[in-house]
Amino acid sequence: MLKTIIKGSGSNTFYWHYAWVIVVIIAGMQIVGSSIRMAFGVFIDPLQAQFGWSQGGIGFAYAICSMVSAVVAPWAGNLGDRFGAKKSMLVGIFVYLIGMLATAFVKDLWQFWLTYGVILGIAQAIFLVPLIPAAMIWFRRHLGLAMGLIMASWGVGPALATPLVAFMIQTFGWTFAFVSIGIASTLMMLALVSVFKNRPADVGALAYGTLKNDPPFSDKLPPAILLDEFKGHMKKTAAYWNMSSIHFLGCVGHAVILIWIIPMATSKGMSAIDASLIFTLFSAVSIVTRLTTPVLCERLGVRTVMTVFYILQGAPVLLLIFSSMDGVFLIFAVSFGVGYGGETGGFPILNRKYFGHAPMGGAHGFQMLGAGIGMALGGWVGGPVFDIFDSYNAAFAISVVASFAGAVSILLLENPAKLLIPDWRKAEEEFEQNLKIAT
Amino acid sequence: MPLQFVIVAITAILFVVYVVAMSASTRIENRNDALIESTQTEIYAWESVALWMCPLH
Repeated sequence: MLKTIIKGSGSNTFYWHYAWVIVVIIAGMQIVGSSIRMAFGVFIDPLQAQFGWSQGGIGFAYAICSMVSAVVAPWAGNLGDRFGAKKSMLVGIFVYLIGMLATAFVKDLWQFWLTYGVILGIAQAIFLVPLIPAAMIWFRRHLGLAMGLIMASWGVGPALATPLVAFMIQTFGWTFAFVSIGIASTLMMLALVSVFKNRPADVGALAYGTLKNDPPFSDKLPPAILLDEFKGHMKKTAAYWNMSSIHFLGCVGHAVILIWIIPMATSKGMSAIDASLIFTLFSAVSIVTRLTTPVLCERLGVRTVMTVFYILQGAPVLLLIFSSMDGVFLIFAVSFGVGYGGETGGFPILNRKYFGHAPMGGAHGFQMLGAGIGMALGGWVGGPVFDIFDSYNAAFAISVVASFAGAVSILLLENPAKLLIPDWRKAEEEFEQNLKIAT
Repeated sequence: MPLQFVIVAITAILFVVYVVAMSASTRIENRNDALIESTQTEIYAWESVALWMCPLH
């Protein structure tokens, strides 16, 4: 029996609740768990110096890691729905530790592809994909604020991890750095998971924002048969598929920039340090819009806000293609940072609007599949396009087209004013009643 | 029917096929140009597959 804790809810947007601890845990998991992928750029030179591998061969490990994470994402999302995010995270952490320790002792390039690309790719999907659906369980209302805080942590991770990983490798060498980072990260993530709870009922509470008259949700993990039924409902909607392709387009749009802006800037005579500052500047600006976009989506309408941010992601790239004025990189970095940060924040809100309170792991995982393939394609395409045209402009044009196509696709999505599938709460209630009658 | 998804998926696949084939074609041409005497240029397996897959190359 649930103890109802409604103290402080009602019309208040912010009040104390264990859901905020869950938000902090998830943000911490994202920062720690994704740091080794975010810091990939600093591996290239040390690996080349130590083993003599080509840059392309080393970079291929990142592509494998992205693709493996993307392919495993739908399965990882379903795993979180079925067994709870806590168990998924524990499995993911175990695979992560194996991947980190194995990567520390690689001797050949194929071993690096296997340990970093495949094993760590699987680990990242298992412990990162169920996090957003897990947070959604804790919020009946005001989901935007929680999502904003979690998404802002995506921007903080690279800023903290990259210099630390670079320092560790430079000071202690590849093997010691990976062993120590692997063990330290595992311990930190285990500490976070130890205080993580799958559902509000686990701490005797109701979801954040629950009002006195709201009917309660079940306090148990959802039954497999009901999960399968709702996965079927979701897959029958066009939005389930289209949101994945929109995420794909958005990720192609910014992946081109993330990978190719520094080579492009240095080819125009900028120093490597100045070029990296462009990256730092738009990453910093993106934190602000990552934080605010989900809240804006709830307040102003999710399709409108997402469309604006997709356009804001694509339009500044036109400056790189057509403008040669002084300070163009500064204007670009600030304006692109706004759009890039806001590109992804609307998806959890859209999921909630279309699918209500149904377990979201499968749908979110499928969207992450689209996002992962988009990141891999956007990161890859600049290389061959540069070889063909001897210029980065064609790659940047692809980025613009992808972002604008995403904006058009968002406009064509169904109106999110009503649910596209049956009400999860009612189905869960009926299922439990039928179970009681049957037993 | 998720029309947008289908359009994006097909366009992306066609685009990748085209870019890979164009890249293969450019690489073969560059190797051809680099040869002082016109001898048979070596074509890698992936380049042959890429050119075979793209009807425009």
